[in-house]
Amino acid sequence: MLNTLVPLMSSIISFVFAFFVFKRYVERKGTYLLLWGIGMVFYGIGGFCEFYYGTFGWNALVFRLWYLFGAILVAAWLGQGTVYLLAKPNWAKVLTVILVLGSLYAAYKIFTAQLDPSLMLGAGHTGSELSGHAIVTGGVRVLTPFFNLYGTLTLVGGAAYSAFIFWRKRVLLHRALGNIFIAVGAIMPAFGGLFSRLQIPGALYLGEFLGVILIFLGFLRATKPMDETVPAPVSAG
Amino acid sequence: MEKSKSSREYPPVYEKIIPIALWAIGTVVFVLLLITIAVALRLVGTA
Repeated sequence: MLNTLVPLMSSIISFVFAFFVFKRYVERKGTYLLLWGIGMVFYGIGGFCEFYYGTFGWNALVFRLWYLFGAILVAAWLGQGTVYLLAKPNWAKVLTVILVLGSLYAAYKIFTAQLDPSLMLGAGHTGSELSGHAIVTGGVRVLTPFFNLYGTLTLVGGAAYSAFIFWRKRVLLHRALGNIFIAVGAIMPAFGGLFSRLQIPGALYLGEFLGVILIFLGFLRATKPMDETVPAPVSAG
Repeated sequence: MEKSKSSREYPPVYEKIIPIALWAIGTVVFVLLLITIAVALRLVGTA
């Protein structure tokens, strides 16, 4: 179940979430929504590849798709949406060009890399989860931390910064809470990856599952206003 | 009788929880960043 149903649920939730984000993009425009939508599609592809591997076993194309979209690009593209929301437009455009070029380079490296699925059984991994250890060619796995570093800084940092600004001004409580959910949710897959390295089975997939749920809840919370202020006591007289 | 008005304060429970959550997120991200940098350096070394 941990290697099949959990990633399948992550994938379905991601695609549903992407639909909501794209719908909002069509209604309101805003490049950040488009990038978040693309990021959630990547999240969904990653989850589906994990489900496929858990159900049907090894497939080189599925592995390459998983590594590209699920391991490398997802956090960075979601984070790029936040960059568009918070940074100056010119900076956001320059960083987007760099991200697109970096993504194309990563795609080229992954689709030309030599793979050996038996290597997923080593280095403390049981082989029950997909792992980058299957990549034999050098210079591919080294890309992952840089994309994820950028993704974590922009997505988690951006959400936490937004929440802090709303909290400091004591405005838009729903957005402060929504951004906290998004920040915590975005941390979850990183936690999952960390525990996976510590040989805890299912940790990565569970982290991704909790992550997409929290990010989705955060998005829904942030887009729906609530009664956010404490009314001052009514004085009689 | 005066009309009720906003006090520019969040409800008390959120006034307590939000700063704690922000500190926790910041701390976790800092630790994760250190781990990511360590992993990156190791991968660069073996590439």
